[in-house]
Amino acid sequence: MIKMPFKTLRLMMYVFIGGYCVFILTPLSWMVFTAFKKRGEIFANPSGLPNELYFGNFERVFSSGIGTYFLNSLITSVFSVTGIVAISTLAAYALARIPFKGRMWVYMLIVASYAVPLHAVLVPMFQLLDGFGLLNTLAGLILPYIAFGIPFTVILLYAFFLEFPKDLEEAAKLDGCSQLRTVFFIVLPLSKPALLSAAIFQVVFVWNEFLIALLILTSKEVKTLPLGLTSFQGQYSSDWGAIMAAVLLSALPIVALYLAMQKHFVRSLTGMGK
Amino acid sequence: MTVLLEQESAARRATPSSIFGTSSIFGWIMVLPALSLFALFILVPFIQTLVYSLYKFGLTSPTKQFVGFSHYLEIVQDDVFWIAFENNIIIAITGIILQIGVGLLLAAILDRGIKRGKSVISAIIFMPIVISTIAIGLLWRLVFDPNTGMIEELFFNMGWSTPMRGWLGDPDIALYAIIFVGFWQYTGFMMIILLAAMQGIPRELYEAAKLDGAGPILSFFNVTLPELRNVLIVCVLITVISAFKVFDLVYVLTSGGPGNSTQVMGSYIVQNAFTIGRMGYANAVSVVLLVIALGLGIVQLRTSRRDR
Amino acid sequence: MTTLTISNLCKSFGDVDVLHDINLAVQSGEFVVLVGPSGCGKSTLLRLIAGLEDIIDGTIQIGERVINDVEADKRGIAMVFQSYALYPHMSVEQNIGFCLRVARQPSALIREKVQDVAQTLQIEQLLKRKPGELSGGQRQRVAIGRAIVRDPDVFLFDEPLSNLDAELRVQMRLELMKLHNRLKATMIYVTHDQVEALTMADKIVVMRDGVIEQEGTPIELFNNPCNKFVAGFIGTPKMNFLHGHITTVTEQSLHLELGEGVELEIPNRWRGHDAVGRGRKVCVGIRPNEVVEGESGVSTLRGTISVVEQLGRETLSHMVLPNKQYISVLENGQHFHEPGTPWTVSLKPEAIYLFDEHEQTIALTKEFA
Repeated sequence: MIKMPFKTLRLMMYVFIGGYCVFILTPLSWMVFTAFKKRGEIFANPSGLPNELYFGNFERVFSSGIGTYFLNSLITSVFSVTGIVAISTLAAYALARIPFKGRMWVYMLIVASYAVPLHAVLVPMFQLLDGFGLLNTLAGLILPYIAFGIPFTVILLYAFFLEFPKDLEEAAKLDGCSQLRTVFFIVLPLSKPALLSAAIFQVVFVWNEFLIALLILTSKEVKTLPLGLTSFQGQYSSDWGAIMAAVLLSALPIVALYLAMQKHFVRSLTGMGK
Repeated sequence: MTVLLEQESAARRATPSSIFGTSSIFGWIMVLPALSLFALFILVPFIQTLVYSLYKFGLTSPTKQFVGFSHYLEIVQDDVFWIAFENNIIIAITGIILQIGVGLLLAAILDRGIKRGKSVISAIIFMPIVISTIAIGLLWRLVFDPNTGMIEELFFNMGWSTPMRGWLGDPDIALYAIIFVGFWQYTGFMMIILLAAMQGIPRELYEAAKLDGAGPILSFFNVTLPELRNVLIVCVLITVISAFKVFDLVYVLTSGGPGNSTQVMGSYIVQNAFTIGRMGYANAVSVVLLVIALGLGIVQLRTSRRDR
Repeated sequence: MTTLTISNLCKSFGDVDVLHDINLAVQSGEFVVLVGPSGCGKSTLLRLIAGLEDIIDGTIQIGERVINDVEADKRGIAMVFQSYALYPHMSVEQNIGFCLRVARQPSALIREKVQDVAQTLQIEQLLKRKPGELSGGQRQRVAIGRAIVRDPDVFLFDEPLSNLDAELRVQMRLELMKLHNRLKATMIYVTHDQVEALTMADKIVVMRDGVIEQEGTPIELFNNPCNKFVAGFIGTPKMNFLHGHITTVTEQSLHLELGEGVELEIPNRWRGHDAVGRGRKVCVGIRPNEVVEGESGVSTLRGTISVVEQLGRETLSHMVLPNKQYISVLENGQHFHEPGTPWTVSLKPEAIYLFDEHEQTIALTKEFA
């Protein structure tokens, strides 16, 4: 092997990783630039900075109802993620901490279901929601989101609760806490970071989910953002300024959340590599 | 994910005492909400998929006609299915090479190669993952657009020629354009998983390698890679499983076209069920996908079992 | 005052029996140390007393009251955990006062009691901090404070010093003893460290494989171990054991064959005992400080010096016999034996223990006892 001076090697690494960052950032900056360009300018100068900040694209997007999509995504995310985390916390705690009969079967079932791809159950699920009269409702979206969010969250929190120091629960017992009190005063306050990680991961999943939304939602009033984006694309065809404005608006909240909560988000992901 | 089995056995070993005593009722009550949603939306549909793949029915038709295994026989002779299957495999293989390969390189550089700007750099590289695939797909449609696209502009300025029917319109190229966008969006994911694993490698191993005279490159091959073996296997499986699950990106970039050249199993199921209205046939394709996904899941569990 | 009586206690986890028929009486104000190797059941016994495990068979009484079915917090016990188990999200003050808060005591009273405890343990300046901001020794004090504040009848300690460094451990050992003297409370202390047991206990209970091997004062256990296990477990450096069988028995002496031609003659202080007969397997035990250099008596062994440990005030030398058995010799003062050189040592006859083939101590004949 050629021995390279470490300085040269380090310089090459900086160049490589810097170049990669440019590779990631360039298309993202095109998204931003295009959103502020007039139609003509997009044709004349696709990749450059906009000559002036033009807000017409955003006005068009707002007037065609991105606000509704936003609201729908927000409602769906809040209800789904609250449901996922609450239900998964209960289940994960019970599985990790209460030695009830059959718990290993329940756990294995949940782990196995994590491998079931959504597409593989699409048709029956569609019929089920149809049967409940939940097509074209946000509830029809929230319920499957919760169901599909549970396995990963249970696995994540199960690992957390398994390592939660038993001594603390026992100390609380000696201090006279009832079981529920122990869970609410000792276990849950100390689980905040884990719950937050789990929640953020699910926010990203729910905010961006497309396939179920595509099948269940057809009327404009109930569409969520990803679905709204595709209908913009159908509606505006090659009005890239408006489309990019919508794309930018839909991505902003989630990117902001990610940047604010980066640590928690990355922690939930790295759990997958173990 | 490989940690699961270890945890499971740890749970079995653990002293059976709990602040809840050994009351089964409490435990079952707590898992009941999860279990019922899970049964309703995953388990029952799973069984229905298996059963209704043997029936012929449409989106709105009230009756189902039993056709036995004829859907499966049809799959074997269905050219489009095989195109989709092949595309899934191409996506999986290129994903392993590109996403894991480049992700590994990036992680290694961030872990031990450079000192400054690590958190900013990893935040940037990871950012596309949190944005919806639909938004990312629309952005790249613009970039690839034959009239106003940035790539078009770049190639024009360089004096290079571009495909006549556009990047996404050429059946020979479209799939690779999709793969490229997937690479752009998801490599950061592999990078983060691998980086976390690298940071778990004891620093003493590198110090020992240094004392043995190994430079940074040698210690990457002799310390980092062997220590990452398990995680790399998990990464390969995650990549393959998600390659078989791909749908959004294909839907937004090409919808499976031109022709059926970029059809994948996911989009083919949706197309059969909800565009053509052949729900029974879609179920049969779903079963094939299920078998593949569960098979890969078992491989994943087995790998982890062997490693422990 | 508070006695603790354990009768016929059994415990198993699934198919694994961890405690068999434990009987133990703890007097009021006694400091009892449960000691034994890991997995011997000592922690389980403590957790059964605490109420953290269900009792399957047998009874535990505090005073006259059977506490088998009494909830953990109503038993009048307090426990200090090995990991301290301080609540990380609460301040020291809240940690110490938590049990009073759960019991809905008025907050003024809680504050007063916590102050008292903090004063006793000299941790008043730490009250507002979180456990994460404390050193190991400080956490230890808080954990003890949390126990004291409940004013329990019985204190339980589960290896409380094992997470401290050596110096701090010695210091905390002394403080715990002082605390015991002051509170005069009944304390049960679990450890795997026999030095802690010897130094702190009024009574030591040695356990192995879920059974109490022996109980008694530290000196009783040191002087009169009932079997080879207790003999080897109590005392440092560890007692030497030489395995062999008896070849000749006379009124005055026993001849032993230790294997590969190594022979040992010891005075016969076990006359008339069944286990002391020709051909019987026995084990000779002698503490390293009872082995002396030279051929002073009958019980002489020859071998080669293998390793010499200089302890400053003492010297611990290890000699290897021709049959590969080792014997350690602890001498006062500094000695500079050269490893590899031949050496001769003798066993002090009155300090020799003899164990039978079941590893039980063979009792001395009356005239020697």
